[in-house]
Amino acid sequence: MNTCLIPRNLEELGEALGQLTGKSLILAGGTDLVLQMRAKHLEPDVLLSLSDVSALRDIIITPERAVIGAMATMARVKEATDGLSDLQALADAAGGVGSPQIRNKGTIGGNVANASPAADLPSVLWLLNAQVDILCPGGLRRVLPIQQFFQGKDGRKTQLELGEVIVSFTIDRTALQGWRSAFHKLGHRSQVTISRIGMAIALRLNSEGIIEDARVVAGAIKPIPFQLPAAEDILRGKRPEPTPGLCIALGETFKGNTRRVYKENAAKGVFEDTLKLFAR
Amino acid sequence: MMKVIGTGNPIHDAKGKVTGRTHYTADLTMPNMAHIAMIFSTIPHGRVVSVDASRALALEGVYGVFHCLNSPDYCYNRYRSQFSNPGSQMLPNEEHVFHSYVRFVGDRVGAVAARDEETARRAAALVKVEYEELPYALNFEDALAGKHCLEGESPIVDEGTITVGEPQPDEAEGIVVTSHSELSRLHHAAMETHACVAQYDPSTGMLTVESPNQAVFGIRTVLADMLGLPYNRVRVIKATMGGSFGGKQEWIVEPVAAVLAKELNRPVKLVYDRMETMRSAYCRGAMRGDLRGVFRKDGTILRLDMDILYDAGAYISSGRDYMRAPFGKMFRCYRVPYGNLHARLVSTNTTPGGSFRSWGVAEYYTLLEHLLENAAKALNMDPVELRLKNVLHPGEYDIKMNLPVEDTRIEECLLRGREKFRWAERLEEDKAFNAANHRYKRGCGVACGGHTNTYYTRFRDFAQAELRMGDDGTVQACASIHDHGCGSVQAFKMILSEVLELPMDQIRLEEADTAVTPYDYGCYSSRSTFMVGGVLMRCAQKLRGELLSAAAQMLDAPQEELYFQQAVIHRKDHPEVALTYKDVSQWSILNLCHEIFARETFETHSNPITTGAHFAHVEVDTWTGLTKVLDYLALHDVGQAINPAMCIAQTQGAVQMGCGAALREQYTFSPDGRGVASLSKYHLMNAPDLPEIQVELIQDGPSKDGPFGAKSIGEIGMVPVAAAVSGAVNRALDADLGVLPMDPDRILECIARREA
Repeated sequence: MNTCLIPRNLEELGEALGQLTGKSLILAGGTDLVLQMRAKHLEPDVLLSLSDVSALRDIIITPERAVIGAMATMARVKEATDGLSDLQALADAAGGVGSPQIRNKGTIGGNVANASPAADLPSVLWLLNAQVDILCPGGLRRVLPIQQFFQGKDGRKTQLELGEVIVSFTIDRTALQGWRSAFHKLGHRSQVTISRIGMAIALRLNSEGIIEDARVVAGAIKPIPFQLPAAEDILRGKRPEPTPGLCIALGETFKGNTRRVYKENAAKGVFEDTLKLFAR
Repeated sequence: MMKVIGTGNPIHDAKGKVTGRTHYTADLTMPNMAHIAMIFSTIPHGRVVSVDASRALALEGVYGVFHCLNSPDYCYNRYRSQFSNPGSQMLPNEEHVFHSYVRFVGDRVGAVAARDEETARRAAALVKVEYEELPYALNFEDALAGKHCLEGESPIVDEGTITVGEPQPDEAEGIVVTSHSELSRLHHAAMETHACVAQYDPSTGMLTVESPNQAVFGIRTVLADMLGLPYNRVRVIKATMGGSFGGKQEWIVEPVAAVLAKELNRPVKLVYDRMETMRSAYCRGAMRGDLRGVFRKDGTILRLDMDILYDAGAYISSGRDYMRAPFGKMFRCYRVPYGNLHARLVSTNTTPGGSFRSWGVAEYYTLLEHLLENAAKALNMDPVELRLKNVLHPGEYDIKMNLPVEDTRIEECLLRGREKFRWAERLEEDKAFNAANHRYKRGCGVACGGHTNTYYTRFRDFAQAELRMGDDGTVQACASIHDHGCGSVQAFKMILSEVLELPMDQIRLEEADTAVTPYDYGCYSSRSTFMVGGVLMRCAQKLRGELLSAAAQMLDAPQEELYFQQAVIHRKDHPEVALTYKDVSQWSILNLCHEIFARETFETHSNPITTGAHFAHVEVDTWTGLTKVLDYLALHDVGQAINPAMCIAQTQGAVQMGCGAALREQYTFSPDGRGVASLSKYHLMNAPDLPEIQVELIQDGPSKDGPFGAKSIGEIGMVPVAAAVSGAVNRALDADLGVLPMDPDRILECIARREA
């Protein structure tokens, strides 16, 4: 490595981004990057650390919106969103990533930018229609809906271009009024595990407790999260009570979406476990 | 009444470990030390055609690249723990330090030495190796088909039969039960990966090697024979160990480090990372078993036939012994009057199989207990009753070794466990739960196991110790101890403290070092406490005698007049006499011209059975296939727990490990032969998924020769676990799954098969 850049604010960061080349690396929490650098003997010409740009760590939640800085750690995302019923899925997902040590270092921006198919935060941000605020070389900004963000081109996993970093994710809470959300993952064990299925569900109930509207996004099945309209249709008009019949019907919606027989069979269980969270 | 034995004490280096002061091998540094990084085979089977190290050598800080085509060809056997002799071990030197004929992905092709680890690893990645590839076998089917066999090679590497006991007269009227089981490979998963530091001094011709290992003298023999050095010029030091579980009982890194230290004439350090330890060291080999049992209608075992297929992986190492030795333990828990083993060994192009906690006994008991589960069903018998019918009682014999089982308490373990676990009530509760629940199914399982305390009768087993008292009355002990991090040193300090009535901080006890401590076989067969602890106890008694003799001379009084009380020697009828150890020690030096010293050898002529009974309660999620262990109770017949807190902790660890073997852990290979290389893909059972594991130690059945009646605990704790847990899963699902681990995929497949 020749240069390590450690900008102290967004302005310096914008300038630093202009110096990056295709051989450069950007360091957020390091829980993935440091392992990759060691395993693959990566030798970046420039390593850009986001550690000292405090604005990237901000989490601002108002009744109208939630703005979550890309460098907010999983532990802080969980703390800031836990108990807010529309954003609860964020707390569930961030609180279930890795181990406490990983949650204290790993960031939401890193989880999204790394774009692992098994990552948990992308499905939740997809569910909540987050907007991704991106900083470009020289300090210009652009904003993309999360769904578009994951439509990478030319073999890239995301829309991030050379020298671009995520600044924050913005969730419009006015659009989520009356919605509750939850996330549950199925791994090889209950904790410190990577998702085999990540299930993000948002429901809007009427005064009688009937599901008026539903959104269902699954992760760890395809390269990027995907919405399950068939499951949403099933949920509408029902009570969010995970009866065996309802869960089996919901599980059936996985058919054709995965080649893994295990995941197809296990889906009903993940639906039940996620719906159970709405009884909180 | 014992003051120290039976009390709970932290391990000797607990403070150092929690404060980060304890040095593991990876922490050691020396002036001018070179760091080694390995070059491993990237193909499962083939020959190295060429090695291009030019780019590696061009890197600044690289001291040299050593590989199969440019280095002296040193051969050894990783399994050797004793000198080559028909009475001990006759083993071929089947392995090279660097291989030009590679047998698995991860086989050693070469090594780079550099000024730091990063440079070494970077350089190793730049070495280009060209291979001529050969067909390979990654599983039993391919191996049996001989896919990987070269001309003249047989798919079956070794085959053996063992018969024990006599056929029973009423066998023909018995009920025949069978079972089929398949057990996966396992990774030891010690927290500390493999590591070694070696240095060679050409002026003295002395090679010094430090590593976490289970047998310093075994390594010394291997290295000295390999390098043509006299045994007294190779010093092997047992370093602080961060866990072994059998993974540091065969020699992986030491030969490489020794060769490079000698080639470079400077100290070297070699530390494997997790991937290297998983892929290139060794694992528990895969095993298949077809069992046939004949039972009387009342459940009595009349006959046991075991047909075993074992995969030794790329190198045979311990394989020939590993597939046979566990059979003997089949006669160390249950009364099996007649048993036959037929075992076959194959070799595949996979990570070698080797020593693993319990040395095959957990595998064999998993197979046997599966058969017993099937028998309980066939005979319509309660599983606990069936086992009670067959467990050995005091006064009986291990008919394989022809040794008394001594005061065994396996029956008590079962009876006490049945009561404490509320076995009958739980079975009823589970029935009600399962009837009312469409998704979750519960079940209970029980299993037993038996193990050894010493090599005896395989070898005449002995241990040696020396104790010397300083002129201040403190004691230094000298014995070849290999503490895995499980508390052997502390247990031995407690033994010395008990006998000598000295506080533990007055006793110093270092671990094995071939230049200092006496010859010892090392830590095998769960022999540490029984043998090394046994000799230390006897040696301490002898030291007491020496003290008494010196004190008697000092006081000019008959020895019978003297007695010990809290490290002070008193004289009956003369209450004013109170000699400290210091007084006697100094008097001895000044007047007798010798220090208070004792040397003892202990040869055992016994090896009582050491047993345990385990009870597991599980809940299977039939929708996701995940199994939760709801409750677990392990009961062990330990004779006398030296340090009960550590006995319990060690058993809890064994249960955790066995639960992993039953439900999660498996070592898989990609179609191109790459073994799993990360703990993110090898799913260890972690604490959040386990209940508080209950352990009960039954302590009224002492061994005849173990220290204070102790029996072994290190390996037996692992033996019944996978059997108890998998039995519970089968009962929950009313199934006969025999393929372990019973991971979510297999459980859902089983359910889907049944529904189809």
